[in-house]
Amino acid sequence: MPVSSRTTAVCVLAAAAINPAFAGGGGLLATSGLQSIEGSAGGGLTTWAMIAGHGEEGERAMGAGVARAITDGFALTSASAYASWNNRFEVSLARQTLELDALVEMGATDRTDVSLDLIGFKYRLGGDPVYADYGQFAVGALYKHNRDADLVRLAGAERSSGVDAYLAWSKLWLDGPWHRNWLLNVTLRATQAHQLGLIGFEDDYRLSAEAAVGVFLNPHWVVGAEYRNKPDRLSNAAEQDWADVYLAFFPNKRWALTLGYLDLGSIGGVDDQHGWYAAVQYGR
Amino acid sequence: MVVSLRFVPALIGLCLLTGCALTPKQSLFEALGGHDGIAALVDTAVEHSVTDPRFGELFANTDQDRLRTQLADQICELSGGPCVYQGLSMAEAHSGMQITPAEFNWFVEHTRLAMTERGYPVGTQNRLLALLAPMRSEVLGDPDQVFEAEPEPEDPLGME
Repeated sequence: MPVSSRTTAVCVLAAAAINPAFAGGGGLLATSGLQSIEGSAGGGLTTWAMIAGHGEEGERAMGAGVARAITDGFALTSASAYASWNNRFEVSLARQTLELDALVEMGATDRTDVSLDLIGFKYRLGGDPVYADYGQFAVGALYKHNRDADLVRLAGAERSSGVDAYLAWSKLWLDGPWHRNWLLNVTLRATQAHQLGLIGFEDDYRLSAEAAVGVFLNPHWVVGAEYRNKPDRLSNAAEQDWADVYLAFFPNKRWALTLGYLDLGSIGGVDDQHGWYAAVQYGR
Repeated sequence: MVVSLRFVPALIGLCLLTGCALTPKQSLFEALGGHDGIAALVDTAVEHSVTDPRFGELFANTDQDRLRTQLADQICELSGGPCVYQGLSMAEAHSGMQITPAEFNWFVEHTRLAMTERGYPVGTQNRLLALLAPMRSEVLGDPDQVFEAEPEPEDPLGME
């Protein structure tokens, strides 16, 4: 946690300091998505086709955020930052730190935490979540590096770094059921990772799918749910699909706050990991 | 507290299915307050846009009274009111203005803000925005026109 919170403070300060060079704000409120725990624009657990920030064509955007998830046995901190251009291209950086309380208690490891670095690229193929009938499509890739090669080996994973590649689709319907605006995201992902990469990677890829829905109670408040399908490839540490329900608040185009309730299934051999999620982000 | 979220895929499916089930509607024209409500709404939205330093200059050469009448007529007709819009098509009316996606969104936001200021509920706001959104492709400038409008000077370096 200390490392991550320092990273975040630096990211937020950097965004605030550099912002005069970054104009922007022509995108509709909340069409930025949120910053996912992997750094790319998305929800909390899933990645969406939206390009981070409220920039439109001819504009740039950047921002930073921090998310914290606490379950019965673990705690995850994700600090992330992004920059985006022309509502077309997004680059993101993130560091995740997973605190291994449950495993330490069991005497399974003497390490208190494990960290993962993520570099993400996303490109909008075309469309628009609001104005195009067919929504918005994007492709992206995440390069992930686990900073604890020993723990990865101990867990039985083949590699300490890996790549995710994904195709994402987002659509925001104006005036849907109950005269509310509705959001749907679907992403197909090829991944080498065990638990996002927090316990390492394999040589070959598995396909997984994720989806998120949201309903705008009004322009500033969104309530929704996410589901993320995950591979299950480590014999000594079963991995399960992830799900959450969330409430996000966009007071303006700079800040966003998210609260969620998570069901992360089994992690590192410790079953039934449920808990809370909170995130704050700032961008311009 | 332990709550399983394994129901989330079912929830997502349900959300998609309910997209088919719509409740009966009060006419949007009535919900907007008829002719008077629409006129007041258009006044507020145009006022905010014209004075917005980001893109207010777009309206500099526009006959403001005519713009308000035309907009009100259009909203009246779209919302099911007893009007027939007889002005130019959206493509003709904005031809050559090179309106950017950001500028279009700012006008949408001022319209949304005007509806909030005038006390319309979120549902009514969304109904109107859904009717206005399809105009975007006609309102936006055609990016190809930029190159036609600004031909390369024949002697850019002044060599002759």
